[in-house]
Amino acid sequence: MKQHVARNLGLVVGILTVVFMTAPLVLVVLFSFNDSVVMTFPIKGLTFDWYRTLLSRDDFWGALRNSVIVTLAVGAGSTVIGTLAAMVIVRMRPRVSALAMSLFGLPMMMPPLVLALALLTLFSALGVRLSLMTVVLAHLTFTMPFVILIVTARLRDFDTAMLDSARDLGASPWTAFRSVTFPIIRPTLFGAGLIAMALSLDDFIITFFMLGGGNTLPTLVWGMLRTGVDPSINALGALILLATLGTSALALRITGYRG
Amino acid sequence: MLQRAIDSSPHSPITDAVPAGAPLVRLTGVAKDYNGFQAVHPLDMTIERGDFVSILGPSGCGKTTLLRMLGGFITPSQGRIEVDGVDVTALPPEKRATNMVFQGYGLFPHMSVRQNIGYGLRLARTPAREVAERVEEMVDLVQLGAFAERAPTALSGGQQQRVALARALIMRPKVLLLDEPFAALDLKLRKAMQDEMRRLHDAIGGTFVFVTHDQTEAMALANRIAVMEGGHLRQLGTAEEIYLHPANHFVSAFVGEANFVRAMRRNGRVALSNGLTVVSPGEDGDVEIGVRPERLMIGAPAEGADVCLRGSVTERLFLGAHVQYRVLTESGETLVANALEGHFSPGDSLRIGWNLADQWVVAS
Ligand SMILES: Nc1ncnc2c1ncn2[C@@H]1O[C@H](COP(=O)(O)OP(=O)(O)OP(=O)(O)O)[C@@H](O)[C@H]1O
Ligand SMILES: [Mg+2]
Repeated sequence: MKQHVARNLGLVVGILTVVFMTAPLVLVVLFSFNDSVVMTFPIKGLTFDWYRTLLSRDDFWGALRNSVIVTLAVGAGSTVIGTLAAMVIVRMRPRVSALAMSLFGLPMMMPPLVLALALLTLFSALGVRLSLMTVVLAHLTFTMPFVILIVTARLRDFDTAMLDSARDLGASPWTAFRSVTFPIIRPTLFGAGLIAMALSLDDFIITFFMLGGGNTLPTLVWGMLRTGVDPSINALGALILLATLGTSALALRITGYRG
Repeated sequence: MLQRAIDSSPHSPITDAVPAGAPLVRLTGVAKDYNGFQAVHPLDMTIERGDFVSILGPSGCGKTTLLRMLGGFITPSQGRIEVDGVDVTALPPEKRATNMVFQGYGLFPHMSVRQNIGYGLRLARTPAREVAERVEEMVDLVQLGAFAERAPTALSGGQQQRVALARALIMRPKVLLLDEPFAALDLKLRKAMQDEMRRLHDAIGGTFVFVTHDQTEAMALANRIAVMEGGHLRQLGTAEEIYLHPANHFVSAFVGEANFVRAMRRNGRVALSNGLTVVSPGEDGDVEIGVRPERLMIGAPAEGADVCLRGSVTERLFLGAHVQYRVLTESGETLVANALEGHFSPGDSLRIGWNLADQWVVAS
């Protein structure tokens, strides 16, 4: 009897938590289709008007373009550099590699605000002008640790006898990588790259500090909020949500993540 | 036809430069030191063309290290490795005329069996038609026809083993290196693979170096056995030599069961406990006389033996193929004798003896 109560209580708490966490997201999506300027219940009717309003804004297209550039550059950059780093790390002696991992992981654990300030200080000290380039560099610092973590884990359980065999059969180190390592870890690299892209796509704080002018999608949301709440923000939010969820889901699927 | 294939190896031009009769592989003072841990002490070794050499020794004695130095995966900390007259000490694996079958096989999971086998030839830019022909030749040789389009992960252990073998053999290596290739297989499959290895070696010739810690496997396969202990090469010889005339105590005990009787050597003669002395050159001092349990005679036959002692049976074990007796001699040594007859029981007094031809003398 007691157990029964405890189990039900657990279930109730679980459901409440899920509701609490997803309700705001559901609301955003719901109101993005709501046929009314005021965001209140009950929903009057469904419309695509807010999406139409959003797509007719010039600053939306600029922000979308910037977001696409940054996301793709960060995805490609952090995958390539992170993979190279991971390949070096797995060759290190255990204690050295543990140290390297925690050093690389530092930006991931720092509060984004602190990281943003630190990078801003660095760039202004170096006299680097803020641009999409600085945004990309900044995003690399916190997306790369994820790539390194994922790829290192994959490489650690990579059967080294395969590489030895490749070398033995005439492959140079590079040929062995190209013909054996890469095809085998390719899904992991895609997955890691997509996770980096998802992280980059919805970053606001660091982007906000690094962006010289213009907008990315998250800074556009912020800008629109300041000039008055309009349901087309919800449309934008829903689009960002869709893109982030899409890349993450694809990443999990490709890397074969199960629960 | 395969013999011709081996002879026309891509590496063969060098062969002409080497005087006939020179060993195919020559190790001179080769040693490996892992940050102060001496895994292989300086050793010399030669391997002749056509040899099937087994490197035999207990776990951790440096067998893999030695083999990987031959393959180019570990650089010796000192010494020189020559293959076919060419110094390969500093060459990476891809530049060596050796190929290796690894303990974990190292098959490529993203390629079919055929693609795995053809990998090395494709890298060498062999014309596609020749690759296809030679792959087929190998598939037939290792009897994998039915599985050739499968991924290696869909094969049994023994089948994977054969793919690894074919993938190395297709390169027509001057020396094929194998690191405990059958360690992961069950006893029955292991025996079958040993037969297959013998068949392969007979069929295609070539020079094989095979690492194992199982002395029966070494004897079943190799024409020469290198026994290692603690990074030292203790003896290199035929199965008969290492079994019947082991060079020291370790080899005596590692390659089979052995009895040891203490004795003294003085002026090149060893005195046995029954007063007999035998010529045995070497340093003066304590020595051990070794003799195998199955070479000991008990009861009536022992009376005619070169060495004959009195003793009493302390234990009798029926082991199926033979009966094992433990005999305490009057001089206080315990000897283990394997005999076919089983009519002695514990407590019986008997004679136990052996012929001088069946004993060996090692320093103790
Ligand atoms: N990279 C390394 N660093 C330090 N020591 C090593 C290294 N590789 C091997 N050793 C040591 O060198 C010795 C010989 O190793 P090796 O792998 O050659 O043994 P083995 O005879 O093949 O043993 P096994 O039968 O267990 O495979 C072992 O004591 C091992 O601990
Ligand atoms: Mg080994």
